[in-house]
Amino acid sequence: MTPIQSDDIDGFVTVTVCGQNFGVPVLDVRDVIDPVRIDTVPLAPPEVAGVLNLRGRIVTAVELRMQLGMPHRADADRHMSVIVEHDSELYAILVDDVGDVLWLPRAGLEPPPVTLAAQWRDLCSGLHRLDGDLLLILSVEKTLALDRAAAAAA
Amino acid sequence: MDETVREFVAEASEGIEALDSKLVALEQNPDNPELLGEIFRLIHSIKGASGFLGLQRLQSVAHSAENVLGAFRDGELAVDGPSISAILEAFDVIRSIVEALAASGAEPAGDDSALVARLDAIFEGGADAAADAPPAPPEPEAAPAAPLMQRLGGEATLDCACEMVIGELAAHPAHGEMFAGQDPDLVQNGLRGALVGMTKTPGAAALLAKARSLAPAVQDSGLSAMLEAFAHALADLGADQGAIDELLKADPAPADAAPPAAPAEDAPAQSDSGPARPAEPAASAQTIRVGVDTLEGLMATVSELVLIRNQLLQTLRGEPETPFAGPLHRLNQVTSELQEGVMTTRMQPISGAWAKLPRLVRDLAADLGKKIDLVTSGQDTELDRQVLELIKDPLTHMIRNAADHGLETPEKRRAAGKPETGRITLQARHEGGAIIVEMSDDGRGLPADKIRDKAVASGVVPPDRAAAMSDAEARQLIFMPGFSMAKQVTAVSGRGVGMDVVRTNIEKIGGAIELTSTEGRGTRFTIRIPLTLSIVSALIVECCGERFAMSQAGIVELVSANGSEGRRIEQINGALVLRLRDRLLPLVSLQALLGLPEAEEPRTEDCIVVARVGSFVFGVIVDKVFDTEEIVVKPVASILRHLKLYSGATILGDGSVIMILDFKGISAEAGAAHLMNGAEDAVAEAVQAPKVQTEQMLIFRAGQGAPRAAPLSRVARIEEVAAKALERADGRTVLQFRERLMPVVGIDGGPVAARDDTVSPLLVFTRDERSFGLKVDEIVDIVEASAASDLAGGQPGSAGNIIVSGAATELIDIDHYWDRAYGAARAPRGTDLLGDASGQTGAGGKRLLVIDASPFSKLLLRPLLSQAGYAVEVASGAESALALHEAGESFDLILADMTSRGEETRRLAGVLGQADRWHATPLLGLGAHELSAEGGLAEFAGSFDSEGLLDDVSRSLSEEEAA
Repeated sequence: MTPIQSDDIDGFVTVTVCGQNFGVPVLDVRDVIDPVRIDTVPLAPPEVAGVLNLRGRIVTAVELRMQLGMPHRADADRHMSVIVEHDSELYAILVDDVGDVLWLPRAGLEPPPVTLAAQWRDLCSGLHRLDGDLLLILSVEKTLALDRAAAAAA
Repeated sequence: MDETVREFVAEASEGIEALDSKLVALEQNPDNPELLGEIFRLIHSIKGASGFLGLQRLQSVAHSAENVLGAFRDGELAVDGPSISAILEAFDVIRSIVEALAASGAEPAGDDSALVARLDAIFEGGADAAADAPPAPPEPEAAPAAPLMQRLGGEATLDCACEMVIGELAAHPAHGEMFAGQDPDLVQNGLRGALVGMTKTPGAAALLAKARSLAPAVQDSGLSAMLEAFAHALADLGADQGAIDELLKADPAPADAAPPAAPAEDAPAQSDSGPARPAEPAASAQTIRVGVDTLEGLMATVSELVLIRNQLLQTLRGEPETPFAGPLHRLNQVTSELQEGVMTTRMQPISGAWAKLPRLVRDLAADLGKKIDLVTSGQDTELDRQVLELIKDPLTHMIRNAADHGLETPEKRRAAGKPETGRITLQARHEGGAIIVEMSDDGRGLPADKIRDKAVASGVVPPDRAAAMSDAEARQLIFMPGFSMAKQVTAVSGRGVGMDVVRTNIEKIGGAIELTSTEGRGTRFTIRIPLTLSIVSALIVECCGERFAMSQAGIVELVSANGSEGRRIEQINGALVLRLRDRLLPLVSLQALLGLPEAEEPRTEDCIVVARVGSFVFGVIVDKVFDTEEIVVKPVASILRHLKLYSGATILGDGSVIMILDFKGISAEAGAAHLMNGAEDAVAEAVQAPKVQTEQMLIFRAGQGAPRAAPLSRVARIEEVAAKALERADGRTVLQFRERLMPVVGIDGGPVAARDDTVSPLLVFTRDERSFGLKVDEIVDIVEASAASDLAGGQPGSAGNIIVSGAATELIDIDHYWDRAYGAARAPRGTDLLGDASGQTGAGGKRLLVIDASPFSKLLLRPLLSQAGYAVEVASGAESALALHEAGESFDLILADMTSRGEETRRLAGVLGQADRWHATPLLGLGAHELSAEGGLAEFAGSFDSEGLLDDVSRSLSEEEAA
């Protein structure tokens, strides 16, 4: 990881969920960890896969697939956890795979296409056009805004 | 010492320590505006605070110093040696005053006019004046002091010298023991203070006196060795030799007791504080202020260490033969000690929460026109500061309540024979890992009746429920939301946010509140709160393969329900219950509550965790129960916070994360389920007295199914009634009773009147002089049982279920039958239907005439005989009996009091002789029975041989028939 911090360049950790690439702002990412045991929490909303122990801290795992309305992950499927901090609480965003960190000019950030499903658009803050690929930028805050939805549902 | 002074001392000392080096830096770098600004701000705040606290000496010195510093800052005055010296000196004075303040709590006496005058001169004269007159003409005495300090190399040098001297003396073969056993910091501080004082009033006396006070056993040779050591140390540190000589010059009266008091200015404060109370400066020197964040961080780290320790211990359990056992054991111990140590840093005496209460009580007393004493004890009891913060408000609220509602006005107290001054007592103590806070007053107590009325008026409980409550139960109503006792909203209290908030807040931190009160004598609240919130002892349970933690604090006991010992889970309309000793325990299935999938293999055993929330006791069914563990409570992530069943999460020894179940949340869920079943409202549950109250229950059989129960206290009488005696009137079944018609109902609403000879018991319930009878099949027993129904009743007419001799028994809802008996709108007619009844009853029952002048025949005999199925006529005397005869009445049996006064008896005999139609009617003398005219019916029924009488009556009648 090149620790560049510049006004016009943003770094993104690329993650894959069901073949789609997403970028998580590198400054939001605390850690990327291999699969660990996740303890389920009964009655939790479906997006919450459970809780895990990261070096003595309790991390709540959020299944990005569920957030995006994608099929369930089979137990055998590989997954990675991107650890982010939000409101001084740690969350693990479960994804299929984690790729490189990309440094992209801020000028290239576009709003997500209006045709994008609302469920997706809600989680994305923008989009970067890469060579032969599109990188949706995931907003950590929006991804973890489950509490409001859950509170409203409760 | 006053809390504010203490705070000021702590802050000022910190600031002064930090600024020492800055002042020196300022001298070398006079044009640094940042440094100047910092110094100026400090002295400014010291001036402000000392003015506020009334510390005159401090204020005047600080004020003059501030002027000079202000002039520096504004460029009106050049920063030069003499003025800096004056400032430094001012700081020394301030320091010494602050130190004395820390030691004694009061400003030491002393004269700073010289210093103040010099500072003022510097300020007024500007840079020139200060530069022109470095020896400060107004006070020639003080002049050499500053240069002496400078020539010696400043205070840092003195400090350094002290350290060297102490080190040297400790290593000295002859004087090594001189300061042995003394706190080195204390010694160093003391000696340095003396030296600083000596820079103003040169002479070794102060130093020697100090040393003497620090080391009482010191020899003169030791003192001279010390002086020598000082001279050497100072010389080594590059101090001017002349200055050293001046500083340590022999005093006219060396090593005498007198000198310590002699030095002027701040020296006395220094030397006084030492000998007078050596412990306190030591304490202040050993206290450091640490940010709460640092402690919290430390706490979190220790929490993690505890987890790792647990993890290691768990691993160790599986490997008995490991070389790590020893080290791990020690790690375990050390971790526990560390944890305890860190916990104590978070502990604060409960007086922190009480500090403002005396003032509050004083103000309340003035506002309310009462005389109130606040007596506190156990203020040193320590508890976690987090808990401390959380109980502040509830305590304040309760004190307000006690002062406003609890205590009476002086006049009323005098009238009640109590001392005019009311007393509120606040006590704290440790008890089994918890803190008990007791707050009591010697006021009027809680009037149960008024609470009932108020609760009914404000809609907290329905009237009938309120009426049925015992006084102790009724007092618990003050914890209900929306309840307020105040007749009017005063500034002090009575806004309806009251004891329910107190209770909620206390329960939120895992505490409990109980209340006892004696009318006229006072009220006592007992609050039990946990010592800390972050580490709790918890029971680990398993349900459907998932593990959960349950806080031990809420657990009453563990019960296994595997069918042995007769304990098994029973179902009532899908609701699970367990018979546990004398009560029926409502059960909650964790599996159902959490929506967990059924385990694949059926459970062989049910473990039931019996928990208590407030006064609600219930059982939670789990699959397995593991150990209890000390767990570190971590908050639940905000996206899961809406799940009220969890109060937190924790990491177990094996690294897995489990949720901590919240009994309050579980009971709320379970309670909600009850409500959906159309059962009792939460209010009734909540008002159950925390302690199980038993009362006498009348157990009877009626209708289908299990025996039923009614509280004996509400049963006015039990009568034996022949079915034939029951009549139909006005569409209802009625019974003549005490010259009135009493409605009679059956348990199932079926017809109760029958034309057969069966005799059944009748439970008579009375309210407001109205009665109704409940016809039952059989009286079984009277037992002592818990009145609080364990399980809400689902059927109309049922108030719930209780356990009686191991059997679930339905507690009848008397009010329901009351309504059935009297209907909603119908008023009892209360008409004496004597005539009608006698006419109607002739067909079936035998007609009896009772001739007796005493009123009790009417009251007692007629009901008794009526219940036995006879139609009864009462004649109050011979004349009225004759009138009945002439009216054409005929009877099957005449009962007459033949033993009473002779005159009456003779007249009666005459009358009966005249009544020729009645000659064939058998006559039964009542005199054979010992009737007591004074006795009420209850006594009558108990003592009077009613069966004997009825036997006599029926025998007489059958003899007559046979004849």
